Amino acid sequence: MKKNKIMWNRAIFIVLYGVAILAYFIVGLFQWQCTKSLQAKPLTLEDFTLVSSLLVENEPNAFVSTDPDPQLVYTQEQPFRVGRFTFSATSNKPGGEMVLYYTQEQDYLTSGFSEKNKIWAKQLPNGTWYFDLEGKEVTAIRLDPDTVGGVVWQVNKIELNAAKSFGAYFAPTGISILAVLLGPLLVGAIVLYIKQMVQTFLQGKKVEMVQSS
Amino acid sequence: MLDILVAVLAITCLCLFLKNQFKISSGFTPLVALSTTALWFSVVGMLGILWAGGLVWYIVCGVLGVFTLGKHSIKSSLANMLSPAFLLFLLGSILVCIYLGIRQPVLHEWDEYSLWGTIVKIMKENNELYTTAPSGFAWASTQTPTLPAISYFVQFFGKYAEWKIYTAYSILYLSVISALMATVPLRKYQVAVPLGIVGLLTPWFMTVYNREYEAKLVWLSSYGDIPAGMVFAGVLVLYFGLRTKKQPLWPVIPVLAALALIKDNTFVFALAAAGIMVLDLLLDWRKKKDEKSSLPRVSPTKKIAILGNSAQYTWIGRIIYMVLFLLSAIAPYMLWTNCYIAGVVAARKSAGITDPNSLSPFSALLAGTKMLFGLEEKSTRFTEVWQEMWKSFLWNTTNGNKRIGGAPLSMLGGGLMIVFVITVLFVFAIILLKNKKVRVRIGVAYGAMLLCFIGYTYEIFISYVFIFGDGQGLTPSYNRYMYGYYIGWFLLAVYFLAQAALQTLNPQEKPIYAIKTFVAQGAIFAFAGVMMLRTSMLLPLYNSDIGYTQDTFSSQKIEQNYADVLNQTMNSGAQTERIFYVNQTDNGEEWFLYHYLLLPNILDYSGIATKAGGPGGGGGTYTAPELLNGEPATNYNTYAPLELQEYMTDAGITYVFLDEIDDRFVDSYASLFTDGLQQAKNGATVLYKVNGAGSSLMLSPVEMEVAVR
Repeated sequence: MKKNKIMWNRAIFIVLYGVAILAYFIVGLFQWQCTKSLQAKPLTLEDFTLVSSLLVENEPNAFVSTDPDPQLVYTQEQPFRVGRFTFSATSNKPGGEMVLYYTQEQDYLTSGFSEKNKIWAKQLPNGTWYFDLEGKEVTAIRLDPDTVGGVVWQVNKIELNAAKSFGAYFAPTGISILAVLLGPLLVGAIVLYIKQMVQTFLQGKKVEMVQSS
Repeated sequence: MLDILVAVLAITCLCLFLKNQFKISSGFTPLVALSTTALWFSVVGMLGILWAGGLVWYIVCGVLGVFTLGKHSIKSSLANMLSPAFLLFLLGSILVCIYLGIRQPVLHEWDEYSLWGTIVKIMKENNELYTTAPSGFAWASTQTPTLPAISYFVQFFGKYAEWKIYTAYSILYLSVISALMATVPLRKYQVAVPLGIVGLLTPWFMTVYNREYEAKLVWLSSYGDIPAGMVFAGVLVLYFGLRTKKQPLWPVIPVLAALALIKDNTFVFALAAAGIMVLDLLLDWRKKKDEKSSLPRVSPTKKIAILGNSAQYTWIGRIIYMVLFLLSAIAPYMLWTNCYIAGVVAARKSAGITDPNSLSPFSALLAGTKMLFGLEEKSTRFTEVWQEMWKSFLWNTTNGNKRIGGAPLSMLGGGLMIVFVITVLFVFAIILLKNKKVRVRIGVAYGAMLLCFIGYTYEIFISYVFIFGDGQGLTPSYNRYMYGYYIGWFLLAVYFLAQAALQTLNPQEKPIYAIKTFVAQGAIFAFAGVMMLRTSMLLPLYNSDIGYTQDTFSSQKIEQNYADVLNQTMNSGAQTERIFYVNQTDNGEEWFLYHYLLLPNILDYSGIATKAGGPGGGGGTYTAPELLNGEPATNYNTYAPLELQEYMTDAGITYVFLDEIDDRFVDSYASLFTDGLQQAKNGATVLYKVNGAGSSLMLSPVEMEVAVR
């Protein structure tokens, strides 16, 4: 009886971890599905509205931030979907933090960009910064390239919906690792809890029936 | 990284020994082992044999581990150790070590430079306790040693690194959570998991109160407030857990002592814990015949080792324990402050160093109590702080709305809300437990915690009125002084609720008892769920200790690089340089930052701390007295050039670091520089070398290879 119980419990966890790993890949596939139809679109600095920054004269693809809060705003006539936004550039000094804001509001010019919709830059091995919006539909995006001011940026390439390798969709992130490792533990605990409640209730009923017969 | 894993191995050996020899649950052992380690390192540090004593400790742990595995077979030892609690501790410690070893976070907050991180670096660079080791501080470092001792212990065999301090703190938190879960056996898995979740989330849950849009580092901080709260919780659940499992109570003693030595104002936590334990021991006064027979049977030779086990059931045993608990809460702190530190300060005095005076806590307490009872007239500050503290506890006045609940402090809300939720948890625990005696004990524990809470709040109030100056505001750092106590109280409530969830199910009993057990288990699940929900709402992973972005420490890395350049430029390799600091616009922060970064070279206090007039005697801002032009000297310390020359000679200054100069400085002291400060003004250099002594002391520019920032 006890051996059965242990095997039952082990089976529950094996199933749960299997489900977790499967879910991990399904989520990756789903994201791939959402973004594979998006066309890669190279952008230039002219496509952006520059705030607190200026294009450098006589130098194509260069701009300088004039205060610690420079912003490059990009929008299209209609709401558009964004997969991976990449920014490949070099600067003449360390810039501090680079973030991307996005908004889904129609009237973003008045409502602005909210702190809730902020993504921190990650870097590819070749130094390109990227932001993964995973196919979200947005009305505008805003790149804040540095928090220092007076930084001269030499831009190599900016791309909307840059190509992302199939494997990259399954790259582990902090939250996905936690979910796969710890999720089954928690769900398993809940399952065991319910199982024991049900068993005790049934046992109690049996005792009752025995007592009443 | 290897040095920390060796430390974890040493702790594991000690845990194995404690479990096998003294038969305490494996989940309790990490906290006891770490506390004993902290005490050992503190004592050998005080005796001046820190490194040798540390080596001895590692050897002893290794020997005890081998000895206990030899005596009890490896298989059974490991089987006994593997409770959910100990597994959490061991795996958690290893994972944290690997994660932080890869990401390598660095110090990033004010007090980490002025105290917590710096004292560990001083210890590690000199292999000497920070109280007597050379540093640029113009005062004796009187901080109590538990946390720096543990930080030093884990990196004993490796090079100093800031992330190792954070790993030490995380291992300490894990040992407390392990103690919380220690009474849960593996087969009660459905209690262990939510309990572990509650424990792990507590540091964030009780300290974060706003949605965070920037990195908010909670575990990765070397401040002492969260450790104080966690170890406060740890010692209480250890005591009650040992009593529940009918195990010897002496392991509480080292933990109480270590708790008393975490921070000055949390010495009160140790007193409170000792008081609660004394009260609990008084409760079941008469020994019961059936209790004695339920003790584990022991062979006569082991009787001495677990004499404590049966002692708690005899009246003489209880009295001994009460005395020991009170002693272990009071004595370490008294010994440290009145014997050891007094000796250090006296030694400094005889060497000609005068330390600035501060009001003793006891005279402050006396003055405040007189005011409270109307024996003396209340000062304005007394009334203002009194009102402010009540307001912070009762009312939430954010966004202009006044709501009840208290100023936001945790994810539950403010003081009143927290106390309310804790009370509800206690009430739940009391209702859901079937043993009447245990219910009474829990009720008494709650009452005692409430009384001690009032006492602790009063102590903080007295500090605000008498020890903090007017310039620091009415209730500075209110949140972090209060949340330590809330953490302790909260985890104790959760522990009691867990005991209700662990009640055995007996089919012969009335069904209501089974229902109570399941409700308790469900309650822990529900609370864990609430904590997970609130935490995810307020603190996204990428702003937390687990997922913070690469940019988070970018400015700190820039500062570290700059300090490394300075050290390399100066480094003759043969000696420790002593550097005089000049920054005409500093408020103290930059001095503390560079003092930390330039170690082992010493950034001198750069002036006489007790000099009259001026902001603080030295630390960076100077002018010749005649150039003050009748302005009050609140921004500049006045030194005539000859005074500076004499100071530098006496202090053994070898370099001058001109972090920021202004016209006043140039006008006052250009005569002391061989180039008249030309190169500094051009930005060609920030370092000047000291040549000569006394009135013929001159400063010559040092060539710097890298462009000055």
